[in-house]
Amino acid sequence: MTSQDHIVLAADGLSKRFGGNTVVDRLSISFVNGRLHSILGPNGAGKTTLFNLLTKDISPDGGTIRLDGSDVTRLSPDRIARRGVARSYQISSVYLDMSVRDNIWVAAYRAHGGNPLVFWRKAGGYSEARALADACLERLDLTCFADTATKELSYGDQRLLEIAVTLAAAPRIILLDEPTAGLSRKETERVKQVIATLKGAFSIIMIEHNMGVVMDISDEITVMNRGTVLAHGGPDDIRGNKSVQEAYFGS
Amino acid sequence: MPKGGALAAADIVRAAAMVAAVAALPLVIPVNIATEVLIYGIFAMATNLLVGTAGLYSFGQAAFFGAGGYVAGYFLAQGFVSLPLALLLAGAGGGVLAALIGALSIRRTGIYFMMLTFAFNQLVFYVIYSWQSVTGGEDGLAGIRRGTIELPFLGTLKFDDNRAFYALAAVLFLVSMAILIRMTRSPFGLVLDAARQNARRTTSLGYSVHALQLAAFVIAGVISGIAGALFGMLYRIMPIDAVHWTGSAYVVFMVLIGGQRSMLGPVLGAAIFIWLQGLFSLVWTRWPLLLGLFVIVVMIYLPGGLLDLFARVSAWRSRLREQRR
Repeated sequence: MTSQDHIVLAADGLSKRFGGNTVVDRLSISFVNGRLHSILGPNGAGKTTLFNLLTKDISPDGGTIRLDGSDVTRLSPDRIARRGVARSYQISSVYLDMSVRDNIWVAAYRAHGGNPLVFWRKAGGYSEARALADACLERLDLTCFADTATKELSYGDQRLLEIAVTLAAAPRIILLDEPTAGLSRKETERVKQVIATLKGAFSIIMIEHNMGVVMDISDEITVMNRGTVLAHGGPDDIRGNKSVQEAYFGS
Repeated sequence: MPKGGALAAADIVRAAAMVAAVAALPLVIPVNIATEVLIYGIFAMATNLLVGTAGLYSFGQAAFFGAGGYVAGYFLAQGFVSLPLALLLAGAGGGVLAALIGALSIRRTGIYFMMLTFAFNQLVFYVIYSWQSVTGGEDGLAGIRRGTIELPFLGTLKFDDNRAFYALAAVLFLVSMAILIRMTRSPFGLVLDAARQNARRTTSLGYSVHALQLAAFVIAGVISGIAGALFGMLYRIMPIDAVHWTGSAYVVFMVLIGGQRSMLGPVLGAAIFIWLQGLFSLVWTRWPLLLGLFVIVVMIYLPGGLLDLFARVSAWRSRLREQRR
């Protein structure tokens, strides 16, 4: 890592307890601008909780979070989002009672600084937001479903829509929580290709269980276990790491 | 865009049908009952902005209806006659109370939000009940006059005639409906709808969900307050029952009976609820029991309300037509 590598998002000594259970334990991690940084770990390692802390969906019990060098530990989740952090969820969180286009428009409107306190004009307009929404649909091959009710989409297409919505938020940093979970092999390949095309233009942090996807497209990998960092390095370092093999692949 | 044009044409047809229906209503049923239907229609539409669009099940809306009714009623009973000012005060009264109660309840979700709005409703009820010198206590606030509107060139509009008062209610009803329909289709309405479906996702897209929900709560409070003012003027008394929590439950029932998916639903719900209330109370002194049974039947068999019934009937008819072919 050279000194020009700018750290966009970092956690220092981050902790979260649920009852007596320490899910994230004094964890420190940093994410470099423009890289795809994957997070691996067995179930219960605290990966999703780490995401929830980084986006402030939940508040940490200790530690600090820095976004572009400034402390954002106390900011609300919508403020974090407005500073350019967008995420997808492990469980599909698309709006089922809306058309596919409206799902994306809601994200794109805000990304263009749209004011939600507009009562009189019609939603769906605003050429900039619509152009961004259409571009995101196109990118995930969802254009043909634009006017479809979201609840009628297949699960796979809903997952793709989830990623499209995340992109429509026009973020700088994207957090993807198991983007290929529940997808067919063909759909997984499509999502992998899409993520590969996003590399460089965005800083991407990805939780993923599919080893093929992780090893093929990651620049950096952090392996978590029991709320702490077990190992960190490039794909080849991780593949050869003994303690990772024990914890994750089960020796 | 041809599609936009066609959509606008359909909207104009619907608006014309609504105006015609409102104009015809007092020819079909007694004029004061028709006025009551419109007043509760306004109240139910405002409640539907919360229930149907924002997904906020408030069981305290009678507090805002009552606040508007008592504020405007007090003003008019004191000898002031300006109707616009009375309505303005009623809207402000409902809105300010909604801002206070909303600020304290909006962060709670589900059952906790329901219980908080319910409890605040009770609190408002007992304040009005106890503050007898101003509100008339359990006798209600009597002596409310209907107020007048001063217009240049046209002179003074009076509403002592029940048909004139109906016309006033009709104008306010149609304006409220237009505003609320437009609002549900605006960015504000779409984001509220998004937050109803998934508040966390909506926050993660950069929206301050609680602030938007509070705005909806205040808007509903303002409109409910104006409906309350009309109610006080209609019978020239503001009864204490109008702020009782059962009033809050009834207006939610109206929304559920009619259907939440459009603003027509709550209006239909209000009309049927008031009609049934009248009918059942003639038949049996224990009429709320029958009304309760009716609500239960609708909720079990028509979870989408009467709008759902229309949709099912039209789907069934088009299927029948296809079979004949």
